[in-house]
Amino acid sequence: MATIESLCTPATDPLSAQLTDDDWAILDNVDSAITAGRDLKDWWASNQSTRVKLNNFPVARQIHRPDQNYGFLLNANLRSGMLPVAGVVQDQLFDFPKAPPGMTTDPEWTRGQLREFVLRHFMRLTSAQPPVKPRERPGIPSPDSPGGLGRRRSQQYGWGYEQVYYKLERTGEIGKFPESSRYDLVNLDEAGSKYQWVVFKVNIYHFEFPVDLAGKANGPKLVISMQQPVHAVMTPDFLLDEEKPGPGILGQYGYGYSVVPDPTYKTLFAAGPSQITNTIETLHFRVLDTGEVRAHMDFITPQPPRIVNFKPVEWSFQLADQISFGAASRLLAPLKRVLEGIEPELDPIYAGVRMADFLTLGLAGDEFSVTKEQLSKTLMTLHFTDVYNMFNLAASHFRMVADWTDTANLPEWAKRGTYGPGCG
Amino acid sequence: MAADGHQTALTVEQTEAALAEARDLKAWWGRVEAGTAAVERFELFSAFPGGKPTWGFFGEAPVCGQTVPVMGDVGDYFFDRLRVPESSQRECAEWMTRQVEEFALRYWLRTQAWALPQPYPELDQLHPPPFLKSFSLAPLPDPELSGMANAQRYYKSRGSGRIGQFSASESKVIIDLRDLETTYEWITIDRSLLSFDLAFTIGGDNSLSVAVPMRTVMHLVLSADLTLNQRNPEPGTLGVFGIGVGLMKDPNAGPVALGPDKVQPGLELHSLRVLDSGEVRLRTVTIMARPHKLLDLSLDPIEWSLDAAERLTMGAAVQYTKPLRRVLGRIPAMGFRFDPVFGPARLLTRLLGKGVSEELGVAGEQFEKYILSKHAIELRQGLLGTRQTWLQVPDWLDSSSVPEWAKRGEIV
Repeated sequence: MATIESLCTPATDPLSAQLTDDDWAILDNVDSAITAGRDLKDWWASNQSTRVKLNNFPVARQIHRPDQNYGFLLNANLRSGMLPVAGVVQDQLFDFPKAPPGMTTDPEWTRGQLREFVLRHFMRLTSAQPPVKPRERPGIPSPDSPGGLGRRRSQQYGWGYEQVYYKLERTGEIGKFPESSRYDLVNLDEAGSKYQWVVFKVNIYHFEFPVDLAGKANGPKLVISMQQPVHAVMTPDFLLDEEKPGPGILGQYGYGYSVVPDPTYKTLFAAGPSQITNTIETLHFRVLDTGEVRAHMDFITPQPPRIVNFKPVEWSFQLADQISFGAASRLLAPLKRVLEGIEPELDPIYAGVRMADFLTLGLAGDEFSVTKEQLSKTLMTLHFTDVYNMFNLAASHFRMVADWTDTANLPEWAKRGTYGPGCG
Repeated sequence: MAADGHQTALTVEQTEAALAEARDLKAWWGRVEAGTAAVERFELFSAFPGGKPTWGFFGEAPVCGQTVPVMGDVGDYFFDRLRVPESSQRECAEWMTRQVEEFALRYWLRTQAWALPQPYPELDQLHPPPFLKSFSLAPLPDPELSGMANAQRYYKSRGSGRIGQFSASESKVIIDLRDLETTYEWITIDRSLLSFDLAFTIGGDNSLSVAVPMRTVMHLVLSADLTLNQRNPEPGTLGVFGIGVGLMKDPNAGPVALGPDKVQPGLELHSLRVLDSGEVRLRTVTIMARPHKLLDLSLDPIEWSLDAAERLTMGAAVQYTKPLRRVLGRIPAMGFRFDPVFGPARLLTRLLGKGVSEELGVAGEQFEKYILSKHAIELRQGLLGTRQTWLQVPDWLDSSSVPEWAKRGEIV
């Protein structure tokens, strides 16, 4: 007889890779992420031209490229209740047809190029390898040799996408992509026909919080790297594949997703991308009738209730466990439970902001922008910068290939992508 | 003292010597490319998408009558391509050649620095006093800059041979390099490396790092015969246009003996090559004398004290320390200096043999390869960063479509 638990567990695809407890911890959050994503998407559709437009602030100054960007901090009235949200919208040049003046360019040709690139290749080409030294040449020490002169594998640039889980449209079965096809991303237009949803893991590199130590541009900096993997579920309603959607636009293509929190990922940053819920992002591209291609991003996320996970009890026991070979947690388990029960729900960053404002009689907030609002704005700026760099990286890959529709003659890196083992 | 406050103590003799050395290096490099002179080649990096592997070399070049051990790096990267149907490609490639010629020779040196997107500053807000700036979360009013900022300093006129200095208002409007064929015999440029940071990192994914800008200024000399300006140089190539510079060693000594500002003789060639397919490729060639030292430290505690006094007084003590240094310089043992990196590396190589030293990663050549790698990365990033500027102007030959900041060489 089937147990209640087995009846509640969705059927798995027989072709799926083995699902572990960690996988289920993420999969358990997918349905709620889809619901939250649709809720936010609807809210966005009805507010982006009204309340958001009336309550926005500029996010970034682009001195040499007058693109558009703005952010917002609003209370969103969702079906699930009121949620203070922050967001950023950016629209930037992706490609411009260089051609002699007076020569007839063919924007329709560009449209075909962009559709092929976005739906089949873009997600594989949002990352780049840093310069890699030739491996294992005679006379060159291994990366771990003491004199290796920093030959460790460096961080990637941009965003690295992997496909992780899926739900089949026909049978409703859930599965995990096998390791061999983890980087061989599905074409986006398959998302509706073959899959009900696909969960991607996005590794966002160089998501960095800079602190200017001297308070001046180009001065010394402390850089806090907040690189974290993000799981995000894409459903067909986030897919964009439209011809002539409006005046002056020949076509627009793109995708979006709702973020799925990963409870198994331990991090100090509560506001980090692996920890957040109720977050959507859309990445769209459009070809104008001039042949110009523009990239557009909308990002909406809750205003972070805390920045840092402050867990002095857990940290103390981790330290004690290291010294006592794990005995501390076992022997003092009751004490740990009691202490965790009375541990203050405190975020040292926000507490510091409030304290600074209190001690300076409001001067810190008024004159030095030491406010919770400024922190939210800073996080939006970080996201803007990350997307800006990723779009530019992908744009350079887009331009490198003469004809994206000529699939037989694509270079090997364009077919395989620039992320994943052996790529780049 | 130059207009922006940067101290230069270069002489005409040093400039012309650097120019003569760079000419010899360019001639030698021509023979290397033609296959009549040999170098020891090695790969620095695997190929990037759309590119070829970046490689380095060791060789011996005849420079001003002497044989100089040299090293260098060569990179070839994708820069741009025409994205038009094949039927229009040939016509467009000719047009692209004229575009690249204009950009590379007139505007490239003016646009090698750029402002990154900045957090939008709070308008109408008082700035905190300097000692409290570190505590402010307000976005900085000045933009963060990246790339390489060039300022032209001195020139020698053709014909009259007159040596002159560019005025402060002219310093960023780098001349059209074609003027080197008619107006100037040479010009000098000070190049500030804006992204040349020393970074220390701890931790893994969620790491902390401290980045300290090095504020390095390179001194360059340019002349017509170093400049790259050639139509149809070889089959399949419609044109090669770009910058050739001789490198001058900064006369100001310091504890670091090796750096972008410490190279002479040296030559850098940065070119944009237009292929008949309409593809534009960036090619960089750097040749520099192999270094004798990485650091140049004194064993003399009196010299340390003098250095400290000069640094603590921001140079104000120089008038007192200089005569003292002159007197101390006459004492033979006082001038002894050493290099804690290359010195032991050479000793180990001698003791253990080249093979073992290479296995341990402490052979002198490996330090040199590391330096070449670092140089190639910085140069690639700096020059490919100019693509953003190149791409946003629809027609470089139409002066009205070129932004004012690009014409003036002003970053902001």
